[in-house]
Amino acid sequence: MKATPTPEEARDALRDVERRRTQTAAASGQSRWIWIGAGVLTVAWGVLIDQRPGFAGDWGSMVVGLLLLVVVLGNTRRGGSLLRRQVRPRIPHDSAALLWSGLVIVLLIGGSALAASLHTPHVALWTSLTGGLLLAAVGPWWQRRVLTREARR
Amino acid sequence: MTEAKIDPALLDPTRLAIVALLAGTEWAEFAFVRDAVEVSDSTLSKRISALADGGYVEVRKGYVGKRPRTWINLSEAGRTALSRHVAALQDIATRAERPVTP
Repeated sequence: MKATPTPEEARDALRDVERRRTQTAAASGQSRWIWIGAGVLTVAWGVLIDQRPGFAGDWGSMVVGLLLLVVVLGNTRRGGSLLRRQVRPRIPHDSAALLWSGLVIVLLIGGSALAASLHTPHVALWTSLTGGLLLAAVGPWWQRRVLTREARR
Repeated sequence: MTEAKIDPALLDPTRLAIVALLAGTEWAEFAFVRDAVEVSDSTLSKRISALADGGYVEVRKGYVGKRPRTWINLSEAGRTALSRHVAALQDIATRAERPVTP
């Protein structure tokens, strides 16, 4: 290429930049199966608590701690390598997206608390079912949306 | 608005591909960039060194277990240079599409 590209060279370069951004977005995301697995685990957790109420008290903090450890580890370079994650995506600080995510979490927690105070049966089961289905069905779409939007910035 | 400016270092297609790949990441492993750009280890090393010397990327080396790993991330200067370069390319492409008025 010369010091100033020709229009054809500029178009080629722009196409390549777009292709690379799409490549990164595709490589940054978790596979659909990870989301489905997370959804199934969430539902399984709810079923366990529903069937054996003492389980959360015995194992709850350990399971939460383990999940937090995996999340924190996966976001570091060395931890990412251990978990076979070659790329860490750049997540935009989007206040609207944060607000929506917060709203969904508050609705889930608030709804469960309200249902529990009204002595509704099987609250944990229904909450985990809602959360699990949301994770499995909406997770891949949400991830693709966030990553593609960042790649185009 | 981003100032449009052609960056001579990014006129090389491989360097532009590396920088564009890294733009959507906090960091990426050397192996990912190598496989995505489809170049050999030595070619990528040379391009990364040139980009690092120019302040476009930052390189970190370390070990995971006994295996050496290299992680690359785009610096703020590299991010700005890419934005300006892409804006300039868009200007060139758009100008060529506009009809010439007498």
